[in-house]
Amino acid sequence: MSNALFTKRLSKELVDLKINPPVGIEVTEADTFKSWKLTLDGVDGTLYAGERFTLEFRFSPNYPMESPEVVFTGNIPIHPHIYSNGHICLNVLYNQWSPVLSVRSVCLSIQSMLSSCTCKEPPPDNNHYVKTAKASPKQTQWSFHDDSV
Amino acid sequence: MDLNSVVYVESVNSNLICCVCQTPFVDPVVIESCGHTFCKNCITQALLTRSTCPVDRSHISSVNEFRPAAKIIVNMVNELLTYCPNKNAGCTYQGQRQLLIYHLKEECMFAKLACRNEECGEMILKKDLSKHMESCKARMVKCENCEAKVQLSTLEGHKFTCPVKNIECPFCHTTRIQSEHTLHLEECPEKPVTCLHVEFGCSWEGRQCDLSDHIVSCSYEPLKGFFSMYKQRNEALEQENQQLRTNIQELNNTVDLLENQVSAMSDWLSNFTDPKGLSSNSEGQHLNSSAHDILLSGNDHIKNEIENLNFSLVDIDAIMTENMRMQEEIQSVKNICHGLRMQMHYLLMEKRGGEPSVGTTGSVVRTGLNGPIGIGRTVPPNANNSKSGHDTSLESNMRPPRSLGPESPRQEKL
Repeated sequence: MSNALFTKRLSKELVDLKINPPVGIEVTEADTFKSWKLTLDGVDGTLYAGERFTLEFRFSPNYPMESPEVVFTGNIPIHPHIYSNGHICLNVLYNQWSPVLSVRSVCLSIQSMLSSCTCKEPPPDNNHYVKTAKASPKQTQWSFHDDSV
Repeated sequence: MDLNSVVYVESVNSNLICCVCQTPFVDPVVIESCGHTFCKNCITQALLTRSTCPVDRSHISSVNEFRPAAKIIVNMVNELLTYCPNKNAGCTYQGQRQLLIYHLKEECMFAKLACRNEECGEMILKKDLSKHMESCKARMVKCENCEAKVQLSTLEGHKFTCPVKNIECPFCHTTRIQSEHTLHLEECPEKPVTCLHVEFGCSWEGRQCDLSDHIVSCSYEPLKGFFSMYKQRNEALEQENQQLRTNIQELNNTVDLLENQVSAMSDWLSNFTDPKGLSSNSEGQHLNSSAHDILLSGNDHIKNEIENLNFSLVDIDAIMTENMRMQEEIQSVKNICHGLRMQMHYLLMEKRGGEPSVGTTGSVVRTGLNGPIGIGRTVPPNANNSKSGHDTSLESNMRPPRSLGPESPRQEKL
């Protein structure tokens, strides 16, 4: 049953993203229900205007009950909450995930996080984190403290 | 049927869409505390992972916090127009979602049903089913003779065994049902037969009804007894012959086996008797003879060595026997010593005059255990005595056991 929900929900989301894509967000690779790739354009008038980033979503069979694994790949934006290995410090991806959220809403959250940035700089503990982090950001114990950016 | 996967005719108001599965509510329920609505199945699964409302993350303590959604919501989702799930197969039905189950069960001609003949097993569209039943490979058909219902695939086989089928006799051209046909063939007067004595040489052939007339005049009839006797004898002889043949075959096999063994054996032996002979054929005779000489001398040498070894063996044998004898003697001397030791001990005890005779046995055991020889045996004194009497003659030949030396002073201390 859970698996039926998983495939139905993801195929619905994919159709929705392709027919009615949000501004600056495009699905580039979605051959399986295991992992998708989307491009995210920096919004005009922000620090990231003109830049294009790639987000990778990895889904567990328990999606949407469990959050997807979301990381930047390739060109990684410099941002106080984005580590240089692509891991994103964003509560909705971890403890604040809810089955109501979707690929679209996660992309919009990340886009808004980039847009509200006022100073392009890496996280203060970037070097230490990148050295010690596991492959999946979901294995990191995150603490969320900054609501401004 | 799974209502989550139906396709809706019109786009559905977003208020009727479950946020978890993102399709119109199926069996909608409301969370009492926050008022959000979900499919019953979706919220049940979501709460397995996290016990908060998926929309506002408010805490939900138990499943009992649901109630069925308001009737108006239930009606609105039930009345949504849907396509038939068999749309791709060709069904054009559109109707309210709540009627879909009835449509699929009763009306839809594009639903797949299993053929009613169990052996067939095919899945057939409902609209094609009656046509399929007429041509199904596993359908039942009526046998034209016996009226029994038989599966199509077994009809051919049935025709041969059908008890009511009429069969014409090929000889007298009368017809009867199959069950009687075999019996009739036995006695059909028109059936061509040969003389009963055909095996002995009578060449008469004719109709079955004329056979009895022929037998009367057949020249082989009077010799019947003679022929049958010889036939029996012949058969017995043949049987015996057959048996003898098998015996011979077995013996031949055994002989072959033995021959093989013998040749293998001789091959092996030739390694020893003529090791160079095989290789030296090409080198010439003189080489062969010199090799032979060398071999002979080697052979002599080995013979001498074997003789020497035999002598040594005899010597060793003698030494062994001697050794055995010595061991026995040592044993007997040990026993004598032990006996003496105990006698001495007894005397010593008596001299002290203190201890009763029962105590002696105890002390004997102790001395035995404490002595450096470590012989734990407690030989009864009288048995020892008899042995010592017998062995006294040996005592002069033997040195006392080495271990006795250091023990003696201990005895005195006691």
